[in-house]
Amino acid sequence: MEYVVLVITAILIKNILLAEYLGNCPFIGTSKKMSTAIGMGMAVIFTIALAGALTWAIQKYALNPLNLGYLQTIVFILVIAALVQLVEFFLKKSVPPLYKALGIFLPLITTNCAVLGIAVLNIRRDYNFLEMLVFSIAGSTGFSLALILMTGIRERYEITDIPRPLQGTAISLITAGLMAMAFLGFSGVDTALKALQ
Amino acid sequence: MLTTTLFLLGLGFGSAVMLAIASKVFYVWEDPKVAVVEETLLGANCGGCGYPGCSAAAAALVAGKAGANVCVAGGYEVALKIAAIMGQEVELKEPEIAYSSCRYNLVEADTRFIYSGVHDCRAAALYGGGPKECPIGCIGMGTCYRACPFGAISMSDYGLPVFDRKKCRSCGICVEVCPKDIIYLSSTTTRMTGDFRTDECTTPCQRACPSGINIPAYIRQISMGNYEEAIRIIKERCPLPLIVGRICPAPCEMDCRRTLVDQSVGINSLKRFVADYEMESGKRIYPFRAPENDKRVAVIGGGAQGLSAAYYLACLGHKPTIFESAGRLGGILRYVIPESRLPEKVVDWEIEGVLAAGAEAKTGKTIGKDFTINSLLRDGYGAVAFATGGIDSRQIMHGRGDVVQSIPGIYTLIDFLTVFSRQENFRTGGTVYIFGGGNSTLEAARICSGKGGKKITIIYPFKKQDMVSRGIKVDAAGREGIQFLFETVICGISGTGEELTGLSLIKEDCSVEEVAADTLIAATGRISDLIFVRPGNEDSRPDAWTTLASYAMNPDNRYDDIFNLNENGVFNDNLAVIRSIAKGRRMVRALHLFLNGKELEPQINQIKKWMKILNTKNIRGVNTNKRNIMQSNLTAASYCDPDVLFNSMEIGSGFSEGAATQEAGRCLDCGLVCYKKSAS
Repeated sequence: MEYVVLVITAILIKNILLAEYLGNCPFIGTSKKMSTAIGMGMAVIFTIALAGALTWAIQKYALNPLNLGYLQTIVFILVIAALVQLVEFFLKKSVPPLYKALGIFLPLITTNCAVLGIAVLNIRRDYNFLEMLVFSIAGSTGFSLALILMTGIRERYEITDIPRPLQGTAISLITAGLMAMAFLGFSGVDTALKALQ
Repeated sequence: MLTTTLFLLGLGFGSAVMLAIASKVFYVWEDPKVAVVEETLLGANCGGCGYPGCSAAAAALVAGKAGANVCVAGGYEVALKIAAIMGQEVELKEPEIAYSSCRYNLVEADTRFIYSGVHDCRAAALYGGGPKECPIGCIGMGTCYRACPFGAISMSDYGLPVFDRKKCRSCGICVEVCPKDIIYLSSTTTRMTGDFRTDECTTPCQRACPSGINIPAYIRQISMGNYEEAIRIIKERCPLPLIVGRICPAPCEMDCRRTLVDQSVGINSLKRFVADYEMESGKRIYPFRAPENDKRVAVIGGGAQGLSAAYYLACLGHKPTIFESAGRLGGILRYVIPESRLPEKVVDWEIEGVLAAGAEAKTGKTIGKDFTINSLLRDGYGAVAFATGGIDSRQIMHGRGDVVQSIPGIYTLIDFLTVFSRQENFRTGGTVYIFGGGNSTLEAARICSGKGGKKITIIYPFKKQDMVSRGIKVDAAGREGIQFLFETVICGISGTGEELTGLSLIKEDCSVEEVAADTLIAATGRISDLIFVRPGNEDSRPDAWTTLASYAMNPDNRYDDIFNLNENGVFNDNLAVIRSIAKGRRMVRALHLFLNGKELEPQINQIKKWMKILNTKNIRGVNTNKRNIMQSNLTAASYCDPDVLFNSMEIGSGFSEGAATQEAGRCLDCGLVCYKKSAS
């Protein structure tokens, strides 16, 4: 039950895009076409799960014992960037179909704040390994969900009469705001779920 | 401080070493050509080549799966650059330009409702196919214009797309996005060898024309004074406009929509006007000339059909040779039609035009006597096309007693009965097939049994009752040992050297059966439209030959047999010169596909004569305007002298330029249902 609450919280209530406002550049950038959005979403889930685990381990076994907590941000960025690069090499050689599907999105994620955000949140909330893994996957699933929903809406904009000054990014940001407000409706679900226990 | 520095240094160094190792361990070799080729491609990712984007096309190119001309959008220049990188030669692809035939906008065309939703054709088409009455009418909201990655489409002032021939890269994106499916890629070759399509805006006159000349288009060009362009449009479907303009019975004029108001437009006289213009200018105008190749075709017969076939073969780059048994080319055009209707100088000029297009002619040569199908194929002709057309039976051509057999083992019924069967030492082969169903067919069967025929079979295309009801004693004949195949047609003939060896039959259940045969007697007046080629690799006999399914062969009509009883759903004959021209032109489709090693397939969306096409029976808002009459050359004096009247002068004198412009202005410039209304 604890994990169910964690998953629902991460996907719907504290959605990384719509409630935490992290990772907005790919949210606006790759939400023009459904196939791109799905590819991006999958790549994000894959990377965040890996990066979350690695950064968690580094925090627990290197930064904490050495008392270097203040280096967290810079170390995480370095580690994530190296990891993404490594994963790209690995996929290209060993899993070409997956590389074809995710390949072009991986470099996009290298310095994505959603990845760093979840890695940092994992530490701040003091999750154990399993909680960290569940939260990482659920958080990135929330990212993909929001991205795909947004793409569905933006594809419709293609054939819609939008006032000229609002065309493009402007209307997308307004839409993102409205979506965030809609997601606000989920707040309280976690409390209710906890109360059920 | 030291720990921090060391930690970061260590982490950075560790990562770097790990990545360096990984890049070696997980190294994937990529052909550097792929990147270079990809740079050469346009990068529009239009998908016109059939690969998902330019990088996929580049990979296919380098892997050898695609040729240097893969990029349809880049055209010749890009192909040259790629060929330079790949060390290949380039084969030029004919540009296929996007084309939509709709000419009436939402204001002038009949509409069913006013649409004021999202300004996009795809959205508008969701409401019952769009606001226009016409099912293939352009909605005109510019979906194709916005989709074109090369800016080749612009929306005209009257709200219809205009395609820029120079900018169009034949990628086909507009074809895909158009919700009405009315944009398609069209090249001169497809127009020359094809027929009108159901997704094309056609008019009653166009559909009435046996050869499918784009009549409103050329009349529009005449009204604008572009006579050369008008000739070019006519010659895409009719290579002899000077002759057709004089002797055509003009079925188009009978169907002209203007007859609902007053009189038809003088369509044929206008054709004659521009053709005369071409002859007077002395400059020959050709619609299109493909780069020459070395594929030779023997065209048997130098009449209208043979000239037409040779003309289009030459325009498509092949090397046709016309074999004519008479002394001069022209057939009925030269030897039968009187001077008063068709002067010989006109025939000469047109024939010169066909020869100048790249056809060769050998006159005084008769097939079966001077050469045979096999000898021609041996001489390096890729195909032998029979265009013996309108002159019935060999007798008319050569006189009694001098009849030659043009195809080994095959006789027309009339030649068989009147000439061959009367020769004393004449013998048929053992296995005889007779195609037909009349009393003389039975007569021929009986003669065969006395002349060496052992197994005699009559092939009849229709049901047994049809034959019985015509008073033919089928059962009695059966008792005599004659076999019958009902509801069967012949779809192929094959042989070796100078002998017939087999027939392909389409049975009543539409299955195809190959049978052995030594002799075939066909109850048709003429043998025509057959194309003989060497069979493919599966046949190893050195001198084998077989027939190519001709253009008219169509799987959805069993009766489109090899003797072409039916073509395009109507009985096939050579009653008018334009019909012979049409047959010659259509043969070229099969020949062109075969010579280029492509599958012979019927054209998609082709309009058939029996199809119900949207039409209009009422015309409103058009003022009466009487037809211009061609001036006659006849004078009181010439009436008195029959010699002058019939031999030395042409009766009609043709339109003056003024009359032609005025007559062209009478054209309603029809569409499927639209037409130009008079200014009120």
